[in-house]
Amino acid sequence: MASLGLYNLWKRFGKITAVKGLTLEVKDKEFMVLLGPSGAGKTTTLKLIAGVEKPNDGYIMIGDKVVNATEPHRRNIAMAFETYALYPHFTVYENLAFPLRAPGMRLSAEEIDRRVRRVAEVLNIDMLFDRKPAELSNGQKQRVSLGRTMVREPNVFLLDEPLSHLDAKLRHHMRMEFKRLESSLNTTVVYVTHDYLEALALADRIAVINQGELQQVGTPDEIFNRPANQFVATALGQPEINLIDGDIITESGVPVFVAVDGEFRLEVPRALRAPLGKKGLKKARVGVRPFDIRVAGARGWGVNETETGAGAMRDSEEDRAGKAFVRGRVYVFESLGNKGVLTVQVGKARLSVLTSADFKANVDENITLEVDCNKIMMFDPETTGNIALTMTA
Amino acid sequence: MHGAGRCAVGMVDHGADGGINMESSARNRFIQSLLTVIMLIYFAFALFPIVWMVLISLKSQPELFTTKFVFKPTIESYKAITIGLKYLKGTGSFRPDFPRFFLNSIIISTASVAISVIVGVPAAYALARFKFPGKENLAFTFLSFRFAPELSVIIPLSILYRRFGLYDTYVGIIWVYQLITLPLLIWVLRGYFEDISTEIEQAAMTDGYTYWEVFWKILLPLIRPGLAASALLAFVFAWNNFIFAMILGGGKVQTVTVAALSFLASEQAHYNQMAAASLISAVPQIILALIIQKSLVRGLTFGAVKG
Amino acid sequence: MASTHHNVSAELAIQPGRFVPDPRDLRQPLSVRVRPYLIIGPALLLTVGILYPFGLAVYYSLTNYTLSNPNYSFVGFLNYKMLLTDPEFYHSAKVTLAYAFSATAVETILGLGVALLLNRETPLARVLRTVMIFPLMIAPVIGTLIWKLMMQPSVGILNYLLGFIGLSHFEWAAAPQTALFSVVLVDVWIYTPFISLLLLAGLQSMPKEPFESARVDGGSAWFTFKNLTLPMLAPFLIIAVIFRLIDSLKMFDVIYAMTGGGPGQTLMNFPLQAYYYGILYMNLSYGLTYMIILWAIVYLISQILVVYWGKAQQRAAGL
Repeated sequence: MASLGLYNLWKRFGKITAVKGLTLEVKDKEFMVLLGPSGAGKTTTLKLIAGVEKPNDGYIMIGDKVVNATEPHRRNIAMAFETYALYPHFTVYENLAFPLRAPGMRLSAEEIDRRVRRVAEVLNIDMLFDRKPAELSNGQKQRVSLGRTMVREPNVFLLDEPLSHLDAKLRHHMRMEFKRLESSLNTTVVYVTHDYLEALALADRIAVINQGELQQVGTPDEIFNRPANQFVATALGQPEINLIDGDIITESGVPVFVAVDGEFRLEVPRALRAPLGKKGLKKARVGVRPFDIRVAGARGWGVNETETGAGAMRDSEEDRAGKAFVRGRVYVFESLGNKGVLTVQVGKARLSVLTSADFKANVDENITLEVDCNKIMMFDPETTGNIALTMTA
Repeated sequence: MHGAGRCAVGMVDHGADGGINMESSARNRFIQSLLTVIMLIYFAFALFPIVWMVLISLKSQPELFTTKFVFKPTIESYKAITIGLKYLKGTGSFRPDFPRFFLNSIIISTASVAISVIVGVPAAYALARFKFPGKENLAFTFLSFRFAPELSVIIPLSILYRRFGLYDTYVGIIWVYQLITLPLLIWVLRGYFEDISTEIEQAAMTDGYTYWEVFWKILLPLIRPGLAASALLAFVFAWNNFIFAMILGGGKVQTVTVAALSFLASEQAHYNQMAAASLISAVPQIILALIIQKSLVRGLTFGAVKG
Repeated sequence: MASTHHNVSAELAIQPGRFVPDPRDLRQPLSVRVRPYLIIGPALLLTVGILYPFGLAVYYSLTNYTLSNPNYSFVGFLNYKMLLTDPEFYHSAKVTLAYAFSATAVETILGLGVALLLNRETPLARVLRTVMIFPLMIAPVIGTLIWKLMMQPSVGILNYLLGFIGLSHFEWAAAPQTALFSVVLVDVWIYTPFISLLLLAGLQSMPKEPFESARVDGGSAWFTFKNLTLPMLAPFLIIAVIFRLIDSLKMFDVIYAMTGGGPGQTLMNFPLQAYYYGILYMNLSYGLTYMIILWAIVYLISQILVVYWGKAQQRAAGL
């Protein structure tokens, strides 16, 4: 129910700088996901927003008010901690009711009870009311911790890895539940995760953070298909994007990318030629998602979509003409049930290729790969920035 | 002391299941019984004085100077030290000051612990949570009080106390008793606060509670078991103290420990009453010790060992 | 990958400079800023109140302050020089160290034995673990008085019991030859449970696995004890020794209650000297000098042991 702004935030803990000049605006009722590896400063960012940590520099706005000097209990923010932070001496019911019993709330006992029960029903924890946190499973704890934030109507929800400690099955279930909840919460959410699938599935926009620095902010589509730099490109997608370092040479007026002793060569797609030329780069790093490579020939056509259907989000303007062929040897093939991951040795490099599950390959078998040139990304090896994006900026 | 990490250590259990043949299991049984005997000898040593004290306290004056273990028990001594002459005409000139000393000990120990709790809980919290320059030095200063020779502070205080009229007053004694109770509480409680995740505090703040409310509603209840245990141990320490009360207190605030010694010096004959008085003043400690048994190690080592 | 100086804010169309927040909104309110001081304040005040006499103690030891000479003056290290040429001082030093080291040594060995014996889950062991702490909880003065009665040459039970094994007349603390033995015995009675208690906590916090694998490997009981139990117990052992050594170096209660330092000068350790000079003879400066020197010794020993403790902890953790 309020917008949120972080402006040039810095947070240091002794010698470690957890947040480095973070600037980020979250619109009212937006679902913002902070994505990054552990230690990236995501949790610290949430705590700065909540006010339980104070920034060394920069300011925070909730709505149109600077809240740096506002104490946490006046910020009207609800936060679910990754460690759950349940009150060990309270029962589940008391944990859930605690925010409603705060002196500022002035709610009747009936109203408190009504709200606690409603949230507990949604989260399916109403049969646990009399238990103490120590008697709960991790999944139950996580739901209580989530419930504690949902009993109120805060300005902003801060959710720190709310699904992280669940097993894969429950996690998927909760992700769906969350997607449903999202619409009923109807408020501003900042959601921290290290799981890119969660980010893609839930976010209105994603902010990718690494080592305290913001890498990129954008819609899931933008982040996945037009990553600002190599870090963002590798942070999303499993198996990770293939990165190949090589040289740019010009052959009959056309820029060509040549790598691994000439084993890997492809014509630079039309869209990238202008920015590449303008930069005048002699070296480049090409990124190809594993599902943009397939095994050439009659057998083993690769699948083109990931399990979330992230592949479907890709830009549709496709130039079918641009294909490159690469020869290599099968290094290993892993069958993962609904798909397969083929690792191919190309000179000194190894490429991951997503295949169908019934693909068959023998180790050391010679194989030819077909790369979709129009889907490749190009990064400046020096700055690791995306060549296509730095131009448009 | 929970059973989770328990394991068999030492020379006892190892052979027990390794020995298969008859000979070695017989040897094991012998070792086992030998160890039990050694253990019982130690406990005879540890408990005999207390048992003997009980016996003495139950002896009547005429039987006192015999070493007989079988005699007709009487609670005469207990009556004499608590109620006194009124009921025991003609047994001597003993005036029962003991109830007053006992009360003094209770007042001084309770007040000392109470003040240490009020002052020490916030200080322990600050030392556990805040980062401020000189924090460790300050914490170490508190600890050093525990290890400083008492007389180095008592001698200057004996001058100051006389000058400021604190000699032989409750205020004076209670103040100096902070040297005993405060370091204990601060160091042990600091450990208990450190055991509580900071995020629980932060969660309570985002749940809409002010800093002070979080302290009252979340932190204090969470450290309560630790607080109770260390407060009780501090009480025992205060109660058991002798030197502060002897030198800085006179007749007005005399505690049982001081009184016991002067009693022995003056009333050579009444060992039975002396024993009764000692036992009565030892009973609170023993009861408290049983209550706090689980946290005793942590308290005794100032949190260095989390038993 | 570390620093990707890629201009993202331009993409976001955010200009951080467009809004200048009121500096008052950035500063923590006064009530928040004074909070740490409010919390630690009372303890700080009390500390100053306690530190002041400590400081005074050091200062007085550098003066010729006696109660009969209230117009004292600064004399530098004169008291220390006098003390170091005083044969009484060397006797006291001997008593202080002999008492502390013998009591600590006996208590450590006995305490370790008791802890190992009680680290079993038999009903007897469980009961004994509880009653063991009684002597530790009784006031040392009271405990000493109990022993003093037991050691009474005429009515005391100990001589009566010794009579059975032919030792009829034992003087205990009344004779110079056996005085130290008597007080150390009382110290051992009171404080052995302290060591046992700590070591039991240590034994019970040990992981099971190394012992199981040692058993599988067929190591002897002594081998297991020497190579597993003892190293893992070392941090607990050292902590126990630190506490016991320091406390027995500054022991006053037991000796004072037993003999008052006697017979003659036999048991005059530093604290008793300080008491007699500083309080009874009213020679404050001289009494305090004893205490400052004891303080230095305590500090030195505790520093050395704390270093060992740290090392033992690392070694135990590395197992």
